[in-house]
Amino acid sequence: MAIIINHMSITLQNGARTFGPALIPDGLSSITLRLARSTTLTPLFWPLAATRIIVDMEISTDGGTTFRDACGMSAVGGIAFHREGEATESVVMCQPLPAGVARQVRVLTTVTDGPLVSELTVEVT
Amino acid sequence: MAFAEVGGGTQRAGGSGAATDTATAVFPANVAADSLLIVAGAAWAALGAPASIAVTDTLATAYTVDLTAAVPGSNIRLFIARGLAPSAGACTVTVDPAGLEVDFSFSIDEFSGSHATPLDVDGGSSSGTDAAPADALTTLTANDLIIGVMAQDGATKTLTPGADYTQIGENETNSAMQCHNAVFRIVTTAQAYTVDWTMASSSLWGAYTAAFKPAAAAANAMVLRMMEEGLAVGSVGVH
Repeated sequence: MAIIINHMSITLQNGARTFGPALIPDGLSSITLRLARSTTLTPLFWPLAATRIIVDMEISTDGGTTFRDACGMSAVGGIAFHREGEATESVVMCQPLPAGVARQVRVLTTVTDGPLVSELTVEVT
Repeated sequence: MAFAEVGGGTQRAGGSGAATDTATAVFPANVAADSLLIVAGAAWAALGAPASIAVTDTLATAYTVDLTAAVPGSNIRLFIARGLAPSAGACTVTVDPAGLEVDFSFSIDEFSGSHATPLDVDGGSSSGTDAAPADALTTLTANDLIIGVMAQDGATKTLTPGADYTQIGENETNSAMQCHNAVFRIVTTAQAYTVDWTMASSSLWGAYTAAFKPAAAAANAMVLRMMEEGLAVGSVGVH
């Protein structure tokens, strides 16, 4: 496993922003993006249910010349609960990676009704 | 025309979201017009299984989404969506379960050779608490494409399709995520089949299956209809 971005503090104002590109270590096959959300321990992270983020992940398999959509998600803030009854600590998106070497990833975000304060983690396994 | 998985598996992809509203997945290459696009997965929400799951894509494919009831004892709902691509091109699929904070994951794949009205039989769903998820269905048409999807409600664990089935995709993570494993099989004989998986350990599971009929069945059906109407096949052009 390799952590490309580790709990990076982010404050996303309304509008679009691009993170990366970042190099994906060779030989790894899936990528996971985590965006910390509001819990009782992290009340300042993304507390408002009105704040929405749209995330698109793009992958390059040609050294960064071209990027192709790989997956995406949209989510709103506030406290959510997972199946064990505890507050969900992060929004998670994970995706198998196309085969290749020297692959790159970039993440495009669009925030509405922000700002969105959170921490971003991207790991590859 | 028989079913075939387009690209021999290179069109498989998947998407997922934990505590999210929507998630997207992208076919790795352009899809072909009239291809059968399959989206199969599972969704979970804290306040109850999502009441509906919408599937759309950037080609404006009209998807039919078949849902199970909530897996008994859980908030999981399984789904299999199918649509015929109206045109060729790049295709991004969006899955949108009802609710804003849903855990879900799904797999997508492209098949050629589908009938214009693809569904042959909805195999229904099964559930249980053990390490051997399975669901049986009986196909009505020869050369069907069988799709199966399962999910479980326990801790993250390995999900392995039965030997007769090919995995389209999976997501095994199941704490702040909803796992699934989706499979297919192209069969030749209309008969009973059981789609099966094994899990690394016992837990509550649900499984859902459906079968789709090939394009060749259209010609056969036409011949049958003509015969039923008293028309000799060889005389159609004479009268």
